[in-house]
Amino acid sequence: MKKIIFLLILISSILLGQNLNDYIPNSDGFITAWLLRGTYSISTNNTRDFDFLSSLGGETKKFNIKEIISEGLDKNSWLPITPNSYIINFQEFFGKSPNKVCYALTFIESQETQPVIIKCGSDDGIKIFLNGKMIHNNNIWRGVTPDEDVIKANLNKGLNTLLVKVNNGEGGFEFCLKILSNYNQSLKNIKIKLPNNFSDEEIFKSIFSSLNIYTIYDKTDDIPKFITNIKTESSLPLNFKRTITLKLLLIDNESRLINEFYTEKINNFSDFKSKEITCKPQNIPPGRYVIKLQVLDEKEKLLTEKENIVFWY
Amino acid sequence: MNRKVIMLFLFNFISITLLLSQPNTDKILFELENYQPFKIKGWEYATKSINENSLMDSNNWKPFSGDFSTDDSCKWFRANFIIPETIANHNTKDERLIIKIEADGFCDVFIDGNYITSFNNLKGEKKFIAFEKAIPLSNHNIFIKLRQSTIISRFFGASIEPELISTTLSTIDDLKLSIQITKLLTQNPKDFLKYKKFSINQSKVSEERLKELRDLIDKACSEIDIQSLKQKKYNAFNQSVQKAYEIMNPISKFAKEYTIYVSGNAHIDAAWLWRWKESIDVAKYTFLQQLKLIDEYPEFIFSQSSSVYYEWMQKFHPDIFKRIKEKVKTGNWDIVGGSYLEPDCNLISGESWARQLLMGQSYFLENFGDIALLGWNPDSFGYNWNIPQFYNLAGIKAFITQKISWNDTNEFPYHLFWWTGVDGSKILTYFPMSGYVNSLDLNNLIGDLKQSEANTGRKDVLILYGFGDHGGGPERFMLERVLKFRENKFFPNIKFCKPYDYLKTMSDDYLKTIPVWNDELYLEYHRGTYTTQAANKAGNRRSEFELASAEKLSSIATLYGKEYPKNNFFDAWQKTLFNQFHDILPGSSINAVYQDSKEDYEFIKKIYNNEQISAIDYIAKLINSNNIKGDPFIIFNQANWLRTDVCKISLPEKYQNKKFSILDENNNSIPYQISDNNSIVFIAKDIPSLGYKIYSISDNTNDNITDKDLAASNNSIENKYFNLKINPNTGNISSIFDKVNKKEILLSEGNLLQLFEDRPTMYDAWEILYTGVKWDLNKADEVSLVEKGPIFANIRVKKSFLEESKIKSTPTTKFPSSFFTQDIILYNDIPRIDIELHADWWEERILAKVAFPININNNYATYEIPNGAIKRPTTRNNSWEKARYEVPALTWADLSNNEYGVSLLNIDKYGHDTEGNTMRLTLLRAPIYPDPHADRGKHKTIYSLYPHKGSWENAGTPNRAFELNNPLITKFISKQQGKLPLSHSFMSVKNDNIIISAIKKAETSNSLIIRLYESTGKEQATELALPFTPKSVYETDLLENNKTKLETTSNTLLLKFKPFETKTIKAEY
Repeated sequence: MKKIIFLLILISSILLGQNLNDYIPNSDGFITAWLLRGTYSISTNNTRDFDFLSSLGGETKKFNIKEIISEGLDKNSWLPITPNSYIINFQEFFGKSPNKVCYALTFIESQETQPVIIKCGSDDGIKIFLNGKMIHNNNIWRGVTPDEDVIKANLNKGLNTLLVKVNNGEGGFEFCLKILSNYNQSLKNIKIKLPNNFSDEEIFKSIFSSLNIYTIYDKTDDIPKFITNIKTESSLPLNFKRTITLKLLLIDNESRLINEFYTEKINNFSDFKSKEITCKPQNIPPGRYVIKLQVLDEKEKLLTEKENIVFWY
Repeated sequence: MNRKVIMLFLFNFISITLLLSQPNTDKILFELENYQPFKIKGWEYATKSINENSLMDSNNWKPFSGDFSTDDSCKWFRANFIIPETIANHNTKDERLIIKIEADGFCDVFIDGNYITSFNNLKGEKKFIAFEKAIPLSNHNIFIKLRQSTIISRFFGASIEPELISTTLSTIDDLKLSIQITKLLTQNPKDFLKYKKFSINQSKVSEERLKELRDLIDKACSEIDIQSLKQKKYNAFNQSVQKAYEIMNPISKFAKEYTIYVSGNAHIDAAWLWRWKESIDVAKYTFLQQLKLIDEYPEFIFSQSSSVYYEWMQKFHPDIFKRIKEKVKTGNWDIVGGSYLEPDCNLISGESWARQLLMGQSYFLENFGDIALLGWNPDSFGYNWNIPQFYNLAGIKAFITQKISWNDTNEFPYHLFWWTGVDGSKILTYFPMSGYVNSLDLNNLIGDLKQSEANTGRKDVLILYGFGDHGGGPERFMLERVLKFRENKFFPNIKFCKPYDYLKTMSDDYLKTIPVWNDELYLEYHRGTYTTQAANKAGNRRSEFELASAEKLSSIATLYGKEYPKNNFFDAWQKTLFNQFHDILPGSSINAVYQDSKEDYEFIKKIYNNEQISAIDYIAKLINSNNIKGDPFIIFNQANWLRTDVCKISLPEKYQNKKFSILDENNNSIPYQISDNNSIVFIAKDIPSLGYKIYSISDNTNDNITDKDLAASNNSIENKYFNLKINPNTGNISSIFDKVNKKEILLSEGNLLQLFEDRPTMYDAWEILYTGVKWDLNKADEVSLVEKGPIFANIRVKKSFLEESKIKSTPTTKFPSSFFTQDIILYNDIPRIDIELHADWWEERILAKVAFPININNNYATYEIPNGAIKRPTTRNNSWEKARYEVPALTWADLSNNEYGVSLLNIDKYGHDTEGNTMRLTLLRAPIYPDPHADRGKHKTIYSLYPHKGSWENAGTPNRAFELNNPLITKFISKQQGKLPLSHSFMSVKNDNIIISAIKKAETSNSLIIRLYESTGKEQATELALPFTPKSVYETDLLENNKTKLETTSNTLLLKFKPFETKTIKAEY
């Protein structure tokens, strides 16, 4: 008997070990590592309250990672995603979906039992189930705005299942969700566990496309400057150890390079949080400029580019 | 909902989570969350009559999910509740429990079916002892009858609290509010910019100072004795709160460095998802509500634009109008906007802008004693680059809008800036931080203030509030919020104000430091509105030009004694201006609105047709035409330049099937051609500026007309300017060779019809969203030469379309759904290629364009805007360029370099794009919302290629586009003995780049008003020749107020124009 139990544990750990990645919420606390399932039609018989997961044990089931992996990870079951935005857009994965329901599931490993605040926005209505218990239900027609709904909840020590159900009428179909401490602080002691079948290259691509830049034209001390913040919009996998180079360029409205004001090689990209870089251009005329972020791999190959149109006056 | 739209709202997104946490502050806020009254939930409402004697048995209840009621009679609310064992940590057993009702209006309260009490206060607290000795877990029903007492009664809910801790709960409520206010106020403005890709931070308050203040809050919170609260030692708790307030005192001083100005407004769409008749009611009830609020809150100020709404009140509800006039005098009612209504700001002509402002400001001046000083157009879909000039010329000092925050791609950088127009005029422009619909909640108020501080460096902000679209405006609860916040000593100063008064608080020195925006305010959204509802747009274009022509003719006739039909023109312009409303002309209204506008355009047409004929007949009687051979007809040129153009006149019955001649003013026979619709077509040469020539038709004079037919075959036409070839397979124009300049104009086949799948996820009529599916109509059903003669030749191309995926029932599964006929017409002596398109259009969510790949390279193309032109990139190098994938223009677009160029002219289209070398004109759309029938049916339009040597400025593209839109007017006249010669110019301008857009009688005198603009962007000194020497001449503003006296001793005036300047001249006779 002990042997059988040992074997089962071994198989489970192999299954988990092979297909499980650890993520942390992004710098704002948004969870961007999810399993999506959908779409389900809302009809005269099936309203948004219909339990479309009844064949899997229902919405109030405490989902099991093993079962999910064994079912297969694809569009026909649970689809793992780590999108490049904190807004999870179901239509990106399932196409245009009027009058539909989609689910998003994730696993949160908490180092301790703790009260938390969950903040979410959705397009349109939303239900949230934590460890099989519905903790939030907002039947509403709206666009997604972060933090519109605030829910108090408790995380158990160990693995917690968080299931989000979003219903769509017309148009946009998305949600965003962040999890914070009771005092609105980022939680340091949680990890997001996502069973997935991503290749390294897929992860590579997804992570870099989620890198973004936000620029402020700063005149607080009368010396004008651009302050650019580089950050990832999505969760970073904790074991992602690639080396990349980040560059920031200032370009004028006629596409001429004015200067390259930042270059940095980051050896372990998993550790990257965000970066704030100041640029003080000299003697540039008022007008429209472009700040461009270039991301290069170990071989200096350009992986992705992002740009901000900025104004100087 | 649509992602793009939502991202716009992110722009205004403020969240407590932006705040850096302070441990004690957050902890106290968290703890205090447990101390709240018990909210009764699960409300239901009933609108049908409820039997008060048997409330428990009444039916007809429905779940109440909203927070307000707009019913105009009484409404019942009910809920079932169980008294909890504890409320706010306090045992309820045997306690006296208070119920507090949150509602505006009078109400009667029943518990468990028994009448308990009534409240006759409209606003303020409504609380009563509901239970003397509460029984925990006992079940009860509460019924509330809310009686109509104001225009809108509101019900928000009710809560229960033990009387013993009622005061403490109020203290806690105030404390929470104070902490929330101070937390928000002491954040670094940078934190509020977190979700913006690009933002500006000019705040001069250092992070060190803010941190000191945040630490004070935290220190104060550490003094709050939560343990006493938990132990029900309420006095000790209350004392600790007072101590905390003392610690926080410096924050109060800091808060009062800031000021929030709030301006109430109601956005009323004159027609949209409802018809204009309903809007009269919308205005009525909105205004009634605002008047009532002004009576109740003497400080309250309400701003309202659009003279049409005031006119409606004056006409249909004079009592309301009278009260508005009183409130304007007391300063509580603020008139803004200055125009007849809030028009589309891309698609209307320069002359329409003049009329919108003239009609609006004249009305305000006449009825309220003053004009509006603030331009107000918060909801139109982009703003043309000439608005600063139009506003300056109409006495408007500043402009407010918010729509550009809806951009789907780029964030507009500034909220307060000088907007420089195409002519160099400047107007102070303000974008509120969060739109015009705001209900003044705490996060919005402080969030907007902090964003304003960051963006402008100022410690104040203007916030527009009030419900809108279908009217509404501010409501009592919003005003109550202002008063409540004002009572809190940690809240910044908050003042009701007129929006313009806020802008007036800014010093001249400060205004010298704000940024300048020298470009159009292009809205990166709603790009489909340049095209949707094509027939309606054609109605607008025709009305604008034909009314102007009718006025020109009538004004000239008036100088010779004819009575000026002022009222008819007023009525016609009024309807034209109304249909320019920013949901009518853009095509975003329901079908019924377009039924209404169609009737209006028929009415307008009747007026301009009648007035043109009447004026021509009058003028004709003055012409000495007795000696004309045959039957004379007049050719009138509405343009202020000597004009050679195509001329058409119906073939009189008596000449049908006979040989006849067309004779010019010198009795010389000229070539003509009879078109297939029985018109005589000829080229009229050198028709005088704003004048006429008398031609005639007579029996054959046997003159030898040697002109040959144009060289034309089934797939080619040639005149002296161009050799044009058609590909018989594709039906496209395969070559246009400029014979004079020896240049091939097309890079590849042009006049190509392109259809695009166009499926916006929402805002169907407004938006363009290409799915990537595209059809190039490269197969002609038929190509044939249908007309050929000495004047013109016409090759007709027929095409059809059936979407592959379209399922059609048998037996005609493959029969096309839409059909197109393109008549490609080349005239002798006219350097223009006209294409007359007939479309039989029955698609759904498909957009049609016509494309011309032009053999010209330039990074910029030029487009006509009202009384001006704008260069826009043909490249797509960055997000700003990419976002301009569809742009608005009036009658022409042009792609030129210094040596050569091609202008694409049109008679009733507004949507364009030029990417790389390809110029395209958007022809039709087929959205399904809000009008599922939009654009389905038959359409006719004309677009025209005008290839030219040199730049568009030198080639006179604006003049050629004017000519295409204003064909020479012809009319048979009777022979008269008169004083006027057979050829005469009534008015002219020396330089063709100066275009006369209007000649009319002055609004308040018999003087003649002449409006002119420089059309090519260069300084121009010129001479205006008037019909007679006037008694006096003034340059005026658009409102016809004299500005500068112009000296003249003859009928010639010397005028100096700045580039793209619009001038109005008043000549007294």
